[in-house]
Amino acid sequence: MLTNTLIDADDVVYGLARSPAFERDGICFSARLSGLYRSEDGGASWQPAYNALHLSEPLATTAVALSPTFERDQVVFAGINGGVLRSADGGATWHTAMLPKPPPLVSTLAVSPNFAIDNTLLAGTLEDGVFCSTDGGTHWTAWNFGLLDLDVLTLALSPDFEHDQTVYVGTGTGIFRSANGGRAWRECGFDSALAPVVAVRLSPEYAHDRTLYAETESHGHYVSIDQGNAWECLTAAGEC
Amino acid sequence: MTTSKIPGISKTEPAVQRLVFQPTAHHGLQSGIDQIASAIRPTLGPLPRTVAIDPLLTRNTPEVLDSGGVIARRIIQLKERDADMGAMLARGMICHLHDQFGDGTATAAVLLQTVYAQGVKYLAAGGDAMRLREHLECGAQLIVSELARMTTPAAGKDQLTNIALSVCADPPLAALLGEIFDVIGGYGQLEVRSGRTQKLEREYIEGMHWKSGLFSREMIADSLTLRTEFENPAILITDLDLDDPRALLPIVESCLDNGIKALVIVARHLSDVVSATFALANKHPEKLQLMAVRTPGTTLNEYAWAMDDLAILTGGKPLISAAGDTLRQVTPAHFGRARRAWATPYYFGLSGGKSDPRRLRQHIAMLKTKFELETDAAPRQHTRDRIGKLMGGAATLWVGAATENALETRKALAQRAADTLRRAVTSGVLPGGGTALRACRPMLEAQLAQNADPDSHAAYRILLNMLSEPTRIIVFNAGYDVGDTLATLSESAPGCGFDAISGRVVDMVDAGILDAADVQKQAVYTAITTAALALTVDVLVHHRKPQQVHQPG
Repeated sequence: MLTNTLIDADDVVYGLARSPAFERDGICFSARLSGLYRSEDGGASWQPAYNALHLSEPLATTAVALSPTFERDQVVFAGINGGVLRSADGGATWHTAMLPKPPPLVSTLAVSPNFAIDNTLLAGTLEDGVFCSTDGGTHWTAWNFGLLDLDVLTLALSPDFEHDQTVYVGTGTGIFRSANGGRAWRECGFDSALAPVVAVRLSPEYAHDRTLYAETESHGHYVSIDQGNAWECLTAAGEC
Repeated sequence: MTTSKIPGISKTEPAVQRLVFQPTAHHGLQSGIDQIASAIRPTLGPLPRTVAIDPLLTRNTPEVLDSGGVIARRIIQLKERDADMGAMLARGMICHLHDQFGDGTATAAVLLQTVYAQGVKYLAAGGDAMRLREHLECGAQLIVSELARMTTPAAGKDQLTNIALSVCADPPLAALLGEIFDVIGGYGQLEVRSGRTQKLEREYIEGMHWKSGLFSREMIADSLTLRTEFENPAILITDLDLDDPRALLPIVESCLDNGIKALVIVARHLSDVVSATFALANKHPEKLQLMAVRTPGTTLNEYAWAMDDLAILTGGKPLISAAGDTLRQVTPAHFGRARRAWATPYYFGLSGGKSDPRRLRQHIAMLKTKFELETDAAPRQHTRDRIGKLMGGAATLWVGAATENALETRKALAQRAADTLRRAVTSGVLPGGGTALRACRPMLEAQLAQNADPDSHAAYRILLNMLSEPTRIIVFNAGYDVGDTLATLSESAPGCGFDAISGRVVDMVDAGILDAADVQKQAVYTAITTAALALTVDVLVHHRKPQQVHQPG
């Protein structure tokens, strides 16, 4: 359903998020250098989502994430330089939560699959590691025990986060795993020479198959079937 | 008759020696080992009984203890000289284990007692002590290898809480320690402090911090919190003496030229004049904010290590006097960077150090190797603290209790449980309650079947009997029938053991009844090798100490 859409040549898309009911409602958001945009037709057309903020200049938005129960609660999070914006009405109005100073640049957001109950979301930043909020994005605390690289490029929560509390981060030099909801991190067995890791995704059956995938900037795609301890290249020979 | 050279003291008896031969020597040693092991045995298991110690010097109430290590330390002499030698041999082993691991002392005492008692019987029947020792030590190695094979990594708060509970038998304390070690890991810093209330509290400190603070109170920015905090500071690390304010000029110029708005200097010495200059400069914080903190450490080695760690963490290049560096040489490459720096009169800390993460990993790996190779307790702990700092966090546990005595006891218990948890996290865990030891039986039975040598047979039989002893004592201490329980256990599935709290046979891993692998392995090895050595002792020699009679001068 997603269509090709041309954007301004000077603009940059940092992130996309689609509604869990995207196939039905066609709602998606794009985080761009020029701000946050919302589409209700699967990306065919985009409308600015920050109108209610009456901004004098564009607010660069570097990450966007939706609540897993977006259809019901209409909660959207947008990452900016120094804070996280929260909307509870699908992007019509916004509340700002600032992260501890000096202002970190939010590079990625991940919302708990059980957000309606635990109100938990994590924000990855480019210089300050991971921040966690357990009150729906109002207050944030840095949780970086054991995270030896604070340049966080991607975050991924386990589909069974409620029970296993597992989170992965991809950084400029490797992949780290937390088994306690992001409170402490241990390095995975990913070769740091292959980093930066720009995306980590977990299998929908992660609780059973312990499988996750990693995408690197220039060394292809990798899969691990043992929670990130050992990795195998998925890309054609010679590209890894 | 000899006369003392000390005025007022004369020796009234000649210095003589008494030699004790077999079988009296073995019986004497066994009596001492039995006495000390029997004093500690009631403390084994999750339902320990206590031992009351009469205070030596004061008329206070007896000390009530449930720690094998502390009980052994309090027993300083037995009346019978032969037994005393055996007791002190056991005491030395137990104290060593207690100092090194903080746990496993009751298990070791029980194992030592069993091996020695059965070894003495074999020697009395004509066995060869040296060959028996050799086979016992070989068996100890096999058991340790088998335990290593069974070891699994400690995972999760619940497992860690159960391990802590087996040490401290204090559920709220165990739950908090389980959570703390799940966060800080095996190398993280934990400070156990006296609480301000009767409750238990914990605090996590983000980033790295050192026990070393600001040079002068003039540098404190917030007089309410006694704290100074900089954002995105540059960090200059040096062991040069900063005596002359003019020497600071190249540093300040370099900062201004490179757009640095805040500078932290980590130095060994700062003169009052330079300190005053800092205070003066801080009146114009829009240009450059300055603070100076002491290099952490108390010895030359500690200063060097701290400078090394800070340089790795911040990506800076230290200025070192021994290398001929001077402050005139300062270039932007010397400055380390961090996202935040804070300091009080007593501590300073950094977070978001701009290190090269790959270099940081290599440095931590090097320190971990050093930690593994280090055998002395103090340097080992120092290296562990360095790793903990570099990993980026620390925790403080505030322990509260109703009385001063209860507080001290609970703090000691918390420290002991914390030591065991560290071991569990770094070395892995084994099924608890003596289950792991019993699981070594099939391996030893196979060894027994393969060996025809009588001394080797005797050694393996002794070790086979020894392996069930901790479970037997745990069952007995919990008030259950030993024979019935051991019979049930012998028919149960592998991995099953006796849960002394519920009184049922359960899968120990599923039930979360676990022991730190390192502690178990060391307790078994130390007990067997100590017993094997004691079995080779053939003659005891006592020095009779001359009685001293005080003669008024």
